[in-house]
Formats: sequence, C-alpha cells, structure tokens
Amino acid sequence: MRKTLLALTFVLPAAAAFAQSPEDTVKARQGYFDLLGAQMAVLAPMAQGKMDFDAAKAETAAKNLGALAKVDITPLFPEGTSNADLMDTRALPVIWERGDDFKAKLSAMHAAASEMEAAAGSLETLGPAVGKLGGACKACHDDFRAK
Amino acid sequence: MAEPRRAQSRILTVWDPLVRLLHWCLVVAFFAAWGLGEWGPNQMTWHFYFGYTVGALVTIRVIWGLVGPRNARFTSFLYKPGEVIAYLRHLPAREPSNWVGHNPLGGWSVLAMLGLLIVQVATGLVSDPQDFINVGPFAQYVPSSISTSLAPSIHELVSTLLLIVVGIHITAIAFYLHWKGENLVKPMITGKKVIDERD
Repeated sequence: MRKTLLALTFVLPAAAAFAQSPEDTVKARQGYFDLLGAQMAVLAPMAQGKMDFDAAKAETAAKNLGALAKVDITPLFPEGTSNADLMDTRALPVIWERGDDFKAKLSAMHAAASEMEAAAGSLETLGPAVGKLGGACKACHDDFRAK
Repeated sequence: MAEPRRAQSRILTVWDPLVRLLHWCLVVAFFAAWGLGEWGPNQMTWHFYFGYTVGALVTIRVIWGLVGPRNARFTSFLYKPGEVIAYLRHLPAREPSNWVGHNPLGGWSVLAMLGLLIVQVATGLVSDPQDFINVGPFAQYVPSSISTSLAPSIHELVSTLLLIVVGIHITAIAFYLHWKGENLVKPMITGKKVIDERD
C-alpha cells in the first residue's frame, strides 16, 4: 500500500505534465498553421509580383515548408477539439465525421508544400507551386474550417 | 367590330439600351461569378474578374438610376407601401399588368438585388480566406477579424440570398408569362412592350 502510494506520487504529476489540455492542443495546431502561413507570407507576394523576388528568402521559406510538410499533425486533432467543443478554434466537427477526406486534404497540402523547395529557384516555377499550395489551403478551409 | 378597343394597344419603349445591356451583362457575370465561386478551380482568378465586372455593372446601374431616363430612375420605380399593396391585389388576376417600367413590386426587388450585389462585391473585395492566393484586393485595409471571418461569412450567406432572390425573379417572370399572359423577357431584349390601354 505504501509502495503503491509512493509510486503514485511520482506517476501522477508526470502524467499530468504529459497530458495536453484540449486548449493547448488547439494552440499547438494553430501554431503549426501560423508557421505555414509565415512561409507563404514570404513566397506568395513574390509569386504575385507584389514583392521583388529574393532567391535567398524564397529558398529559406521553401525549405521551411518542406520541413513542415514532414510533420504529422493528425495527433493534434483529437476528438473533442472542434468549434462545437471549444472556443477559439474554427475546426468544424465535420473533420471527425469525414476523417479520411480531412487526412487526404492534409496530405495534398503536405505534397504541395514539399514541392516548394524545388520550385523556389525561379519566379516561373514559384508561381504555379504557390498556386498549388494555396489551392490546398483553400480546399481544406472550404470544407473543414468555420468562416 | 369584335374588339374595337384593341386599336388602343400601343408599342412603347420601356427599357433604354443601357438598362438592357447592363441587365444581360449582369446575368452572365452573376452566374459566372456564382458558379466559379461554388464549383470553380481553387485558384479563383476568374471568380474575381467576374466579381469586379458585377461591381462595375452595378455601379453604372446605380448612377443610371440617378441620372438615366425615366424608367431607369429609382425615383420612378420605388413606390409607396400603399401602392405596392394595391398592385399585389391585382397580381392574381389572369390578365397582363400592362405596366410601363418596373411595377411597384418589381421595383423593390430591383433594389433588393442591387443592394445584395453591392454587399456581395464589397465583402468579396475585403475577404481573406487565408489561402494566400484568393485574397481580396482590399482585405489588407480592414481589421483581420473582418477580412478573415466576418466578410467571408457574409459573402457566403449573401451568395445564398442572391440565388433565392434571382430564383424569385425568374419565377415571377414565368408567372407573368404563363398566368398573366405577359412576356417580360422580350421587352428586356428589344426595349419595346405592347401596352393595352383599354383601362
């Protein structure tokens, strides 16, 4: 009995430290999308001619996108974290109703993001790549994100 | 001498060329913008172009509604509630309205359509769907709570309202044609309408 209690005093705080609250999970995935957005905020204005093409900045942003494309964020979408469950999220419950479709759209985004590095070398290839990744953003927002 | 009063039918020019041109351009631009918004490619360049076109057409129509010929003017076709009710009483009758210009009910539907189109163009111009490729040209000038959330919400809601209003508009034209025996489409093409002045 004493041993069990002693063990619990070590295990319980550890478990509490590891279990992320739903609010923290939401923050984590929003941080991921903010990071994606920060790269696109560099690349999209260049592709659209609103900013001069800067090869070094474009390369860095594209490399970051390539790294972000390798992150599996599906664990950051546990049940109970939709906008019906929590404030401060625009994740629609339909994410969990049509999970395969949601994952397919995430994969499409990752595929487009991973192609960016090869495309960022020149404006001619950057434009279509930004269009493809932006299109992947839109396709998922249309179905799975509240306005 | 079966119908001696037939002779009192007159052919009047009810719609000036600009009103007709704007109307049919709007039909094309509206349905193109609507269809592209709903089913078009993720890169919404053409939705934007048709949206700008709608904005230009509506702007010209509003100016024309202030300075154009009589039947095009807001002051000529926005009737008082009492006149609208009087018109509604006659609506079920199976006879042509013989109305010259927008009737009291149609006038308000014109204003509703123009108003919704203005809201739709305005919210589109300031919408930021956060996809970096379909950002409205004026989205950067409004607070992000408006550009990323409020404006897109209204844009989506009004797209449905517009479809309903246009549906009512087309239904009303079918009603006039089949129930009242009055063709309203032809005058919008030729500008001319046969008005029976027996009453």
